[in-house]
Amino acid sequence: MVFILGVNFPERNLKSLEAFFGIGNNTSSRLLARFHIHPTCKVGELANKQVLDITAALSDMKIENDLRRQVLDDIKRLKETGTYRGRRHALGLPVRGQRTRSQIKTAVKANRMERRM
Amino acid sequence: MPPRLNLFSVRASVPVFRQPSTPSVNLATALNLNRACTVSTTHGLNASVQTSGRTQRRWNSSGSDGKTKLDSTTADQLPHVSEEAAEMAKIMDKKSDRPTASPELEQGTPVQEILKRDKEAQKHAPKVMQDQIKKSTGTRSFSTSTRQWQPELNGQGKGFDEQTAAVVANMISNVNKQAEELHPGLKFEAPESLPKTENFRKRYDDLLDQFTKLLMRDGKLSMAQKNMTFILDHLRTASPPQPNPKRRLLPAPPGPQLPLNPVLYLTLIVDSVAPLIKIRQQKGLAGGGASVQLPVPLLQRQRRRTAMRWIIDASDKRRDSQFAQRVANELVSVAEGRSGVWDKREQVHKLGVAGRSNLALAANRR
Amino acid sequence: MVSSFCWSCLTRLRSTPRALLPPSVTAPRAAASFHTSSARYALPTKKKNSLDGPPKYREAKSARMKKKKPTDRPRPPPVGERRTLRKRIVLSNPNALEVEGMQDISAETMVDSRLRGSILGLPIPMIAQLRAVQAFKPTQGWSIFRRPGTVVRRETLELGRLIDRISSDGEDKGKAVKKIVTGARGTGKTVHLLQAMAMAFTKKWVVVTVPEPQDLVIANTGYASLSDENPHVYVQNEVTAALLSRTVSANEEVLKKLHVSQPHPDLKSSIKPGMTLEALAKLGIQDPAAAWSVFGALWTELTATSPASGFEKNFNSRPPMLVAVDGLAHWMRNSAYKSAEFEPVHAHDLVFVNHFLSLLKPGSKQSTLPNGGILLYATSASNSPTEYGFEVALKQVAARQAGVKESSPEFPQADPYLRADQRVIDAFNSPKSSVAKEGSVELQTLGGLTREEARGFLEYFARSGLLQENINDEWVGEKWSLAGGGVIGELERLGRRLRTVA
Repeated sequence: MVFILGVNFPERNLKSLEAFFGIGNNTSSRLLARFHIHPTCKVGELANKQVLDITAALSDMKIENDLRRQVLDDIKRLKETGTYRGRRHALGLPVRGQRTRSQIKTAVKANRMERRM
Repeated sequence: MPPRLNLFSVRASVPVFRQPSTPSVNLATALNLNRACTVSTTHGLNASVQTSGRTQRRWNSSGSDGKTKLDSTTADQLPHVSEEAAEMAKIMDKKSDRPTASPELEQGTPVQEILKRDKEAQKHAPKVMQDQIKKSTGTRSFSTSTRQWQPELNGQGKGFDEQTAAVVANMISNVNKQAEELHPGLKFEAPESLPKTENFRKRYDDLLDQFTKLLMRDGKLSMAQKNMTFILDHLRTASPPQPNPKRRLLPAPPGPQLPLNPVLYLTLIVDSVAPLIKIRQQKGLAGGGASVQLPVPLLQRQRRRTAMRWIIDASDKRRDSQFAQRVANELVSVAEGRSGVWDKREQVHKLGVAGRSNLALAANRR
Repeated sequence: MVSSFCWSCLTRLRSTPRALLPPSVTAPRAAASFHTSSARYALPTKKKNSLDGPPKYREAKSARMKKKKPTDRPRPPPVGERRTLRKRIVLSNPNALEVEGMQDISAETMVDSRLRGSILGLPIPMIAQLRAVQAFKPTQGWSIFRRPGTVVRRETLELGRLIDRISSDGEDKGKAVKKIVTGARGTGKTVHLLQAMAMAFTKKWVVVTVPEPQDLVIANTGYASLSDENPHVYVQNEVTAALLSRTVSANEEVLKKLHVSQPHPDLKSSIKPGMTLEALAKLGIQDPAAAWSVFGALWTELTATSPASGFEKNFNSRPPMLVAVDGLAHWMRNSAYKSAEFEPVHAHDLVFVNHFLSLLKPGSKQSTLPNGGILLYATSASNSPTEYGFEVALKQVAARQAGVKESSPEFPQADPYLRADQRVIDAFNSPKSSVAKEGSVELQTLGGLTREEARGFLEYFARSGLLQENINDEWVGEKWSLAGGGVIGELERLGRRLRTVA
């Protein structure tokens, strides 16, 4: 069990970093490369210093709730300034000019008052 | 058939084309100048001059291909020689000293013959022909042989030729003698029959092929072949089977020898558990719609297939991680009489024995 | 489908957006007020799970398809079981017949040209050593014979004589030979390395091997910058520790007789005077973080020709060395490691790889292997990435060996449009050494066996009881041709294949 940024990880490989909201494949592999950690490394194998390094790097980044809040705020701003994009968000319709004749399930699912994320 | 004339060869062979000064002149003009040469032996001198072209032609070509040559060289079609001769005869009427049915009507007359007969014509014949008549020895001043003339070898060559000829004759007689000893109709020894598996399309044993195909999943044959290799290697390396006295394998070489021939080992295992029959459920034989179990005999391939199917199915319950390993272990356990496949076989046979009486029903039905 | 919205309603939306917005929005009025920070920093509300949530727009109303139940699968095999099965090496088949009169590899048999075409067994005590250096590969067919053995072919005899000359007192004593072994698939390159190792063990050499160069470059083990001075050179500690443990377990007997004879400033704290080299190498195995410096120390010890001042006690002259690498092409391209800037790391930047490749270059003052020895680097034909620069480099090595001048037009050059890796070409560009005993890099191409050797090989199958066939010249010739002119891997396949006579 290793704690990174206050989160407890079982001893899996470092796909675990991608469990954070806002970190995908690219960010995580760049992060690993920065601290010379090979991609198939297990969390349990990390040296203490490496764990601290990763934690420090992660705390500088805008991830998890900060990022969620930012995205929601952006949508809210769009709505309140009365833009077309804001309206589309509010109505649960595609925002970026897609056609709506069919296949808008993703928009229906994701674009809400409170965007689900 | 007498050859048709080739006009080009005529021109080439007659050095000076003399216009005939005899009554045949108008004839020739009437017949078109080109055809003048076809005038036959009506008049001595003219005839001999003009027909020399024809003789030349005769020498030049063998008889029958004249027609095709003519087609390719000249555009206008000449009438047949004999027809022309007949025409001529009609025109000339009785001028000639010959009967009306001239030889041309039956066959062309060679110039030599005419010359032989006609001494006067011989005198006036062209120099070439006179020379030919004088010396008809047949030797030429030049060689037509493609070989170089090797006079110095002539003396030895004869002996050498005789020797080789004797050797060849000896060989031929030997072969013939051998051929007589062999089956009639064979010149050389019959080839040994090749083993079946030497054909590249059937390089594996029948049973091996069948088993491999049954191991195949999702059409991946090479994967199945790899698995088969693994199984054979496992049979090769696994310790020889401890025979179970209740469930014996078919008679075979003793156990310790089996792993050295895994194909035989595999065949033995499969054939030993292969059922003799299958049970068919037949409805309506006994009346009332109840189904009746009929034993049906199986062919060898069918029997083997059933056994392999059972073995592979039974192997699925094993816990080894690899498929090939599971099947290999199952095969060994069949060989040692521990496998459930034997029970299946006994069950089928029991049902078959019980259903024997139903065969009578089926026979009556028919 | 017509949209269910009325366009006029939508136009009205603009004037009265608030009215349409549902009341559940947390801070609708906050925008109106001047202070937004409280609203901004409030935690985002959790989604409610109850059905009476906000009205649902445009949700799919069709009946949900029921998901299929996952079928029962047997528990997957425990971790590592499949790997061990894959890597398992079986060297004996108790069912196969013992081949009578089979000799073992020894100092006498390895130079005996009468044995050409026969099979020499590997001595039983040596098998543990060979296993330790991972000389056997799972794909080789050791498992069907009673005991492992190899064919003596022409190249084997040449190698045996070479090893014999290097270790015996003669003019070739202490010679360093550098060879790159290539050849088509199945021509016995890896087995050639194995034979070299076996012969080296009989002559009490030190054997250092890298059996799987691929493992170093696929980013499966840890890596770190070597030091702060050169951050772009990387050290792989686990791999180095594994190399040390291979070397120690295989050469225990030899290393126990040798003692530390040089000062090692890096490892001053842990090295005691009079320590054996075995103990030195074990330091690196116990502490992988120091593995690379321990390996460096071990290497300087093994290549030392005379003791440094103060260490004269117990100095034994160092034995020759055999360095064997199998599957060289993996080292000729970018590895899967990434630098801190997320750039791919070239394999030559890995200090481990770089050390073994630098051995190909002539040493500056003395030979790279001053006590003599052989570098045998083999390529692989079945598992090898295509690297154009490497192909060119090998051609250049062959040309140099044939005596073609580099300035001559026949000297093979890389096509400028194909982007050959200059580092790779430079790595093999070794000029003639100034030291007389050090040879330059040679290329050795393995081909098929001769018919006599093939016959001996197939007779071995027959005598082991695996091949039930009457072996005569005609039959052997047929198989020899079928095997692409005696390619031994194909011959083995033919020998295993059973023919059933119909």
